[in-house]
Amino acid sequence: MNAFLRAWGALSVLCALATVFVGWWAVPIVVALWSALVPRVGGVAAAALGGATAWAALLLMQNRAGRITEVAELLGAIIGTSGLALLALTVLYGALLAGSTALLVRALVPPRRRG
Amino acid sequence: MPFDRRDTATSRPAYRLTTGIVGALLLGAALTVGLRPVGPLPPLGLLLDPQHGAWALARSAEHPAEHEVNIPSLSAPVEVRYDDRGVPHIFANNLLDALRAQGYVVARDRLFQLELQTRAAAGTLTELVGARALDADRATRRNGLPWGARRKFEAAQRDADAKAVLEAYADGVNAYIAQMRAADLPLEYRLLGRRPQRWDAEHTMLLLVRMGLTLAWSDFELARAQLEARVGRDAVDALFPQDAWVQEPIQPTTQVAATRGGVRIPPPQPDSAARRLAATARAMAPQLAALRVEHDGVLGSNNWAVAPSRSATGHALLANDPHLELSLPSIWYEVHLVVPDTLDSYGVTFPGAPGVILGMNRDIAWGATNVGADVADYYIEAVNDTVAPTQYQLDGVWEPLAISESVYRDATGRELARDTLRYTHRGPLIAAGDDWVSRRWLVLEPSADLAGFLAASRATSVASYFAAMDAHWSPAQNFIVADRAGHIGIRSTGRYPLRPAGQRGDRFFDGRTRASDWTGFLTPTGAPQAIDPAQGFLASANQQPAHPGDLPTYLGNDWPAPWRALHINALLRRDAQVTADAMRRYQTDPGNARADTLVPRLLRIGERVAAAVPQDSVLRRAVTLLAAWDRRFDPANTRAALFESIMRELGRLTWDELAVDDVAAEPTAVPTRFLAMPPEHVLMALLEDEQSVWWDRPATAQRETRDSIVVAALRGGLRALEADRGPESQWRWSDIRVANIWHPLRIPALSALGLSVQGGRESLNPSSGNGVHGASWRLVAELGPHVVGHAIYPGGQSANPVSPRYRDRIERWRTGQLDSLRVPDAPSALRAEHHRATLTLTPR
Repeated sequence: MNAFLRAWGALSVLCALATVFVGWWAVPIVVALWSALVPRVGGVAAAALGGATAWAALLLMQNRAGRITEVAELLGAIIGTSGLALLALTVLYGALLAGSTALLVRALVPPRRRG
Repeated sequence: MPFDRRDTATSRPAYRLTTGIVGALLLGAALTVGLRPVGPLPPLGLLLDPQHGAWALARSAEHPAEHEVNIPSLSAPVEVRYDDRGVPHIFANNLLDALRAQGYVVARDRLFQLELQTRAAAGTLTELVGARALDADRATRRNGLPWGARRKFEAAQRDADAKAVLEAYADGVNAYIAQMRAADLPLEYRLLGRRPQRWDAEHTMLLLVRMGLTLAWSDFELARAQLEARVGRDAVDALFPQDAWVQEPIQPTTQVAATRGGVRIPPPQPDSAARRLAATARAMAPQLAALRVEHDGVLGSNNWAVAPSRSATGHALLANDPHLELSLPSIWYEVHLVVPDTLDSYGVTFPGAPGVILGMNRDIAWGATNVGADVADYYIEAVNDTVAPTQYQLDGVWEPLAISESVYRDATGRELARDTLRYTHRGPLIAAGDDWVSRRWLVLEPSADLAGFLAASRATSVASYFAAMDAHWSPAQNFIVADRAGHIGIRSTGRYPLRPAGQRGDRFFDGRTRASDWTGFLTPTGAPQAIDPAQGFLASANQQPAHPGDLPTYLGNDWPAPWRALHINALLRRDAQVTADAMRRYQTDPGNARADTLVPRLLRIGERVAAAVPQDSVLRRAVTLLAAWDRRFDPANTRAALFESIMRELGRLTWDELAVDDVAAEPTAVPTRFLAMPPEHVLMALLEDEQSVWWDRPATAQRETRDSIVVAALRGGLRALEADRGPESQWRWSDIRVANIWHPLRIPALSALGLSVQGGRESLNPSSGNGVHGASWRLVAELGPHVVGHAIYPGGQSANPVSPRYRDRIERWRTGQLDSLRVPDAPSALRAEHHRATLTLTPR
């Protein structure tokens, strides 16, 4: 459990940093590297949660000016959905990017035996 | 340590293969929707990225309180202070640095708008929004807009000052684009999945050409050719006279008759000889349709100035409200440029245009209305090949056409279409059925319009303003000016083509001879004008600039009835102590000279017939309701809707000879289309001619008279309104006529729609049927010891839709309020409570 929490936390930080300093498309890259280099720590769930947590945290940080719900409602109105659904979609999209990458990489990189 | 069962299961090849495929599919889908639009959805990555995506709009909604940026081309630091209305006050040491800063701040607030309107004039919208813009792009290029912008730009390149101005502005825009954070990318780019293009100095010329398209387009030749085939030249001359039948000219006149009497419109006589030209015009019309600005004939700008002798304070006053297509963000951007001993100019400019276009400085204030001059002519050319011509005949000699290939591409560079563009010495050559037609259009001529605006914004008096604007070519504007010395002046400023002797510009010309060409231009000094008239005020509302007896030459023939001018002048005549606040109220005054003139005429006829036929309850009700109307177009009014319904029906029944569609016996919800609708001053003149054959409707067996048509319109107007909206309680004007301020991408969430406004057709705050036109800027200036300005435009300074400056002015604009303008002469002069942010621009 501790390993899972550590992986979740680490992946959250990595995904957030990748998004801030590079962009959304860097999330699969850092998750792929993590999954390839430390395949036994964490799993798909940790990656997906990490992606979601990172993006949720970044949304909260964007809300420093207090306008995130305004943006959500506006974007929702443009796309034809509710603001809340769009906020949820954003967090889920972060999870999808990270989780699907972990799923793919774990299938490609065989687990190494330990001990 | 041995594997646990889970490890064993997940390491099985089948499991790994399955999860690998699922993972690849999910990741592939996530990346695909992240990078590419799917259906109506934009690329989700660019949109949903919580740091750089659309969510960043929250962070960039307000400018940071302090921000410093390097612009390499600056020669000295520039300080920009934003006030509480979001207006940047630019303090620079020289003009070019001020313009660099202007380019920067405009791009900072309006980047997508800059690109969109430029592409619209360049015919490259497809590269931004895809194939849906292909028709518009084709029309733009085929009609020579980018060609004309290129000619203007080349002319500017030969003028060192103009070149420096354009490049300085471009430097500023590009400095912003280069340094813009990913988070600052405007929402529209995210929705379209695009990035901003660099700003070329030439783009400013595209913008000017685009404004020329809005304000100086004329193609009445097309309608006229078709009308002449249907009803004959004499009738068309009377229906669309060169001079309005009701005169209230801009230039005060000593001519006595305000209304020219004795109107007789010749009976319709189909002209078979005109059919060929009509076919050419018909074939040409669709190629111009994508460029036409449709405004239901109710587009109308106003300006007026009051001399000290008639103002309450003893100082000159000036008001202006140019009416244009409304958009959110606004077509205007408010800015203040301060360069010590050179420039201290405040007002509005088009994003993309250096300097201030309309506004004020420390000595004068100025405004404009459109002249609506006829500055385009069409020439039927003889070509060497009717399918793919390479030469055209001129005075018996085959001259080569200038030919270029034009390729239309989408955002990925994929070719969408290709055109061969041809030009004669007059301008673009357009295929029109069996003919080829070239057009000369003043808007596409090389000119130095920007230099005029920049010089004029430094003027210190009415006279020096006009002298500076001698450089102005197009679009011709009724520039009105007032100065602190108490002078007021107005001039229909621009160049006007001089045609061959005896020729006007409202018919096709024979392109085979140079004798058809323009012989020169009437310059602004010879245009209609007035300074300090005895009446103590001046006004314009797009009406005929001068009385026919005072006109220097043919300026045009599409003059609307001067209803708004009559109303402004009436308001100013009866108020010898005009105040700035009264001028503000006048700008949205609900009174209406059109209704004041026409309603009594309609009632005289209606009441007489109603008295003779008392059993006609519908007519009696229409007459009673109309007679009790106060003739005001305020939001709560119900009878204004009845008047408009009656007038629509009167036009439909009267001008049936000119209809494109069959005119049904009963009014329908679908408006009847006409080849062209004669101006209302002609209808008014016709009302004096009881027996004119134009009252008769050829489609009916009986012979109609004026009275029977007016009575039918009264009845039909009431019935149509009741059928459409129900009882009178549901005829509130505010429910019928609203302003719709659309975002350029027609996204409702980014627009302000259904705004109840005061005013109707031909009142001082007219709004069109679809509500997309209106007062784009309202200014009232007091020219006292200091020039004090009050102004507003619909929208806000920022194009960021979550910014508090996106639509902050709309409610005050809707209700006719004005903001007090802050005009500090130094950074420290902007009071702390009005100061919101500082941007410091430094040379590297």
